[in-house]
Amino acid sequence: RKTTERRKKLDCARSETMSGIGTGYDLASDTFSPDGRLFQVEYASKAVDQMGTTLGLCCKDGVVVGVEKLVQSRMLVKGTSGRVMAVDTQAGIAIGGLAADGRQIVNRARQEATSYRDFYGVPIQGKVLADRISMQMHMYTLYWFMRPAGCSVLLASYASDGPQLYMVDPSGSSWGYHGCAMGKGKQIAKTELEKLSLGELTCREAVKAIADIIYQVHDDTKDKLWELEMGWVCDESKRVFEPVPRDVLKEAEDAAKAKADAEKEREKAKKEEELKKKAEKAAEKEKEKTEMEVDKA
Amino acid sequence: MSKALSDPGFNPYAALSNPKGYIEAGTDKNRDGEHMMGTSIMAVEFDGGVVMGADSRTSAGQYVANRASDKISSVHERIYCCRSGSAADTQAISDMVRYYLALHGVELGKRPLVKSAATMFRQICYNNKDNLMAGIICAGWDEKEGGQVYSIPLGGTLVRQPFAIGGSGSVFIYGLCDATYKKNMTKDECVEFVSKGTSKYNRLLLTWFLLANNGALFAPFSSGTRHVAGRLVGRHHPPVHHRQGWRGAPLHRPQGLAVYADDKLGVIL
Repeated sequence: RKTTERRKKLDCARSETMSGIGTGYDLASDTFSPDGRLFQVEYASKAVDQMGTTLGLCCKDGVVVGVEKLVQSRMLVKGTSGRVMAVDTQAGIAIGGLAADGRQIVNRARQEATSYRDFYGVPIQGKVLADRISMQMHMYTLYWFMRPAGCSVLLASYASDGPQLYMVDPSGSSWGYHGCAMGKGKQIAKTELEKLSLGELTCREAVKAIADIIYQVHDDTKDKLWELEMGWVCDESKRVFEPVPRDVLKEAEDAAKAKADAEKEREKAKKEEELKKKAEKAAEKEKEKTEMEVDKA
Repeated sequence: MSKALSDPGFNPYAALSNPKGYIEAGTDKNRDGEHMMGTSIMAVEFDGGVVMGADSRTSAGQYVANRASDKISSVHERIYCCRSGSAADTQAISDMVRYYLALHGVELGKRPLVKSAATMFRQICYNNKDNLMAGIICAGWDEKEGGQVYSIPLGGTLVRQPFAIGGSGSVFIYGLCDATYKKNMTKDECVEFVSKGTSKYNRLLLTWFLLANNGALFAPFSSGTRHVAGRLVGRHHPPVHHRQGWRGAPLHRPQGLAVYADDKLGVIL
């Protein structure tokens, strides 16, 4: 009886501390659950979903990526702690999720790209680099003494095989995308991305579109301090991955801000109207009531 | 002078006079030197591919170890290399490059670039320059740049050239090549250019040079190049080479197989 009691206590304790989806099978990243899931890897993806939105668009003349960088303090210098980093001249990465983990991935990608260039004499192609990055991220999920990377990575590449956009998630699976989103506002962002005519978009238009969408999904009440960071590699930038030039970015941001503000005004006006209507209805009801009472009387 | 001409440079009867009846391996430098390829190799690019040519002699000291060696090896479907210097070193290097190129092609999903092959050759030659003696000409055809010729001489430089010559026999043909080469040659002109450069005539020049300098002489039966393996590497077909067997009929002219860019197959030269 003692052992069963002890076991019950332990079970209770376990379910108290770790009640939730992967109870018991989520303690180590090398453990499968009975239904074949790796919970630690899934939790790592959840870490990505809690962070700022990251978007990427693959256009006919290049690739654009943008990050909604949520900032903790007003004292931070704008432009530091970047989440959009170049990997080689023709490729770059936008990090979604834990920035520190992402920086390690970028480091590794840089090593892969330069050693490829060294050995083969040509810049690494998008799909090959994506493969190398996903091998790295997948490796983190194989061993109990390592944890999966808490970031998803958007790889923008414009090499000899044309403009390509890949997303690699913490499980190590990579897919090529025409347009891709991750983070807090990914659902809305994905819907908005689908509305765009991706085959005919140029990079300048894509910059505007991404700024637009990020301003749309950004929640001012929850995250007051934030920055928009964007990078592109396109014909205009001579196929070099660089931060989107300040004037282009400013133009896009202003337009997006104006649009977002206009939306907010409209929403406000709508709400006020509704309140008015409600108040009017309530007033009418009051009137009716008093009239009825008067009649009764 | 006439005595020098008939002096083979080694004593062919040494074995008989030796009590053992043979000469120990490694003792006769004339016979047991490291196998070198006293070589003339060249390659030239044209619009649809490259033409490569090489002589076929491998020597060990004064002895011709192989008079039908193939100094042009494939490292990929449409990328080949001409090898000069130490036979063992160049074979090892081209084996390595063949291996890495195969992996690279699989990863890439399409045929690798000639530049990649040449870069690989260079990395190996440069990083191991202390231990290698290899002069390589890497040539081939790829979709991006068409026919290309890259020269990787002894120290491990990598330089792309419209045509390249290499090997110890190449010293005699610098003038000839510079005079005969012109830009934008057709395939047939390239074939002529290469066969001139690696012809028997130029081989004979090498013989006379050595003769004049140290009195050595290649025994008459092996003087001059018997045949040249010529090869076209181009857009549509992987080249098939036709090698003479070691006891094959003596050839008066170089032999090779041409692959035309417009789907015809034929024997040339």
